Amino acid sequence: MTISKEFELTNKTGLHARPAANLVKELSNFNCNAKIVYNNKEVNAKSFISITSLGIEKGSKITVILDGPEAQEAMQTVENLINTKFGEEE
Amino acid sequence: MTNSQIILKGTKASEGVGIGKLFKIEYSAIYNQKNKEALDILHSLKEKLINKIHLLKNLDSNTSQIFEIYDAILNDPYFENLITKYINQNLSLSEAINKTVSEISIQLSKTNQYMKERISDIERLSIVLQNPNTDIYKENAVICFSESLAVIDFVGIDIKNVKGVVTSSGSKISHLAIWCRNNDIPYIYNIDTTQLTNNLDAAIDLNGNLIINPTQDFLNELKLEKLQREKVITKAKQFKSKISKFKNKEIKIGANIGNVEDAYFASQMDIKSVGLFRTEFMFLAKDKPLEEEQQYKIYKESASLFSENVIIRTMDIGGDKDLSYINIKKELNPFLGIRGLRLSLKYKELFKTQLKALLRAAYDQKNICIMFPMVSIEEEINQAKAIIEELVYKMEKQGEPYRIPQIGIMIEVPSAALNAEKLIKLVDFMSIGTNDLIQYTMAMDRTNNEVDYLYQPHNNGVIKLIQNVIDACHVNNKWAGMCGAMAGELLYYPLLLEMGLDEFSMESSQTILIKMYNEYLQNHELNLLPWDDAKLNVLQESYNDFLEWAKN
Repeated sequence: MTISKEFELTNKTGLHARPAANLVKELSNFNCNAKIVYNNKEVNAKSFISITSLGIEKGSKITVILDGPEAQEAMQTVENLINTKFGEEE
Repeated sequence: MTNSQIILKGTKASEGVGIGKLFKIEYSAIYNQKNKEALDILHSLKEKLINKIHLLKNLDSNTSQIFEIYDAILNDPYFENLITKYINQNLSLSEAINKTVSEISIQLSKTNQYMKERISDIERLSIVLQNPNTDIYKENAVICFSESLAVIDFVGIDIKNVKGVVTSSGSKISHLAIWCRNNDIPYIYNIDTTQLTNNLDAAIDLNGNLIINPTQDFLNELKLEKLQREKVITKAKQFKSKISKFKNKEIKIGANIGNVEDAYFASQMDIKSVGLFRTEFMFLAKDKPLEEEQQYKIYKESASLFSENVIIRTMDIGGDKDLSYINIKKELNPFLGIRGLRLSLKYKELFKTQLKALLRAAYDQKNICIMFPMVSIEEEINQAKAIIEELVYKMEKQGEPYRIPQIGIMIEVPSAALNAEKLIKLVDFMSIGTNDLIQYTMAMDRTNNEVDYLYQPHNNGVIKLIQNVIDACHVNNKWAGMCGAMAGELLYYPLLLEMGLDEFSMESSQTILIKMYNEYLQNHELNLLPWDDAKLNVLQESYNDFLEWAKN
């Protein structure tokens, strides 16, 4: 099944460096295809380089599209990561 | 035969004194393999490096971040696909790795300033990947050098013999710089490392110089300096995050910065505010004006690093700073000519672009303040504010988000200091630029060494002007700061405190010493007012006593 959801990033550094690495690491545990859409560009959400290259800053809105048997669980994990600001200090 | 002493000037990324023999960190593995064989070796190299990274423990958070990035890149299918693509184009393994890492570095560095400053760390991945098992181990004190280096070159080894690091390319906010500061290893860059050879005796001093073949006298002096500095710095670090107070009033100690790199450096030092962001350096370094979007991003990113005020000064061009892309007429007395706000009001397009970027950034970052340099009369402030009104009117109409932040002026002109009561009514704060204020008040050209002796911040005339500015601000319930060199000079600190100055802004590395002096003064009141410059010796004695105290 394919599911998609829009998120606003509220952590300090946006989707760069450590937050991007964390997201990729978490997603790699799930059996699903993962994509991020930002500014009309779509990239593989399991690729650190591709995500970071989007230059997603604090306050940006992104859409996460997951497809596969574990899409549901994977989305829950993504949501937790974003809501807890990737564990970044303020 | 004795070799003569040579001094090479570098840029400090981690301040300190180090003595040791030069040692070149050099890796040489080259993989000429192609096709399937190349891919097999790639997999084994990747596995070795990933294992090495996973074995690293007890790293501080900043250092471990770069290894998380390495790990993420190594595990990224994009990375392997790109290398495979080049191998399929018949490149050798080394060529394919180098090309891939260099492409990725460029791609990542374009995303934001933070990643841009990590480029040296990311580029290093190419060498590290091809040499995953090489460790430096040295029995004697060494100063390590190479064209470029990264933290990974030093992990897993005993670093107690690493007495210094020297590179050609580098940055103050690279992970290597942070790591060196955390481990008290001096690190300087901008040194032409091709001139250096292994095993020469060398030293790094507090001014960021690399001294080759130092004389015995020089070394003795350096060792003494090192000992004293270590004591002072160890003590000063205790006061790093302490809030400075004087008579129950909080004293703001901020940083002077000139670009995003400085901003990161200051925030890494736990500095909470910026008292002066000199924007002109970003303009001077380019051959065309910075676009609004670029400026907006720089202001926003810089301000996001601080929890308190970030005062951004509009460009202070003219005087001794010239722009290549606007045609400024040659002036006989440039320091008394079209400079600072005067220039901005003459070349309005540049000024409007900057103000618009600031108004947009101020919407995102509520701690941004705007400051105009070189203000003489009310009319100039009114004109500048009218331009802001005009911009706001347009932005409002187009539905663009903006916020008008606190607006302040720099006080550098003696007549403005004397007329502070009137000028303060038009703005939210004042910040005293002492370099120019002293130059204009004492009629001494600060670029002319012959009149150096007239640079007297403590002169009664100068102090009266400063006092007038502080009082005018306080009567109007506003605050007064200082961002000139005087604000960071320990000698004058007690006097400015007693005069009621609210905010001091200086080079980042100076802040911990000022904070420490502030603590010392809690128990050593001087009662300097009313001031007379004959009391300079009281300041000098207090400063000497403080230094003695700090060394113990």
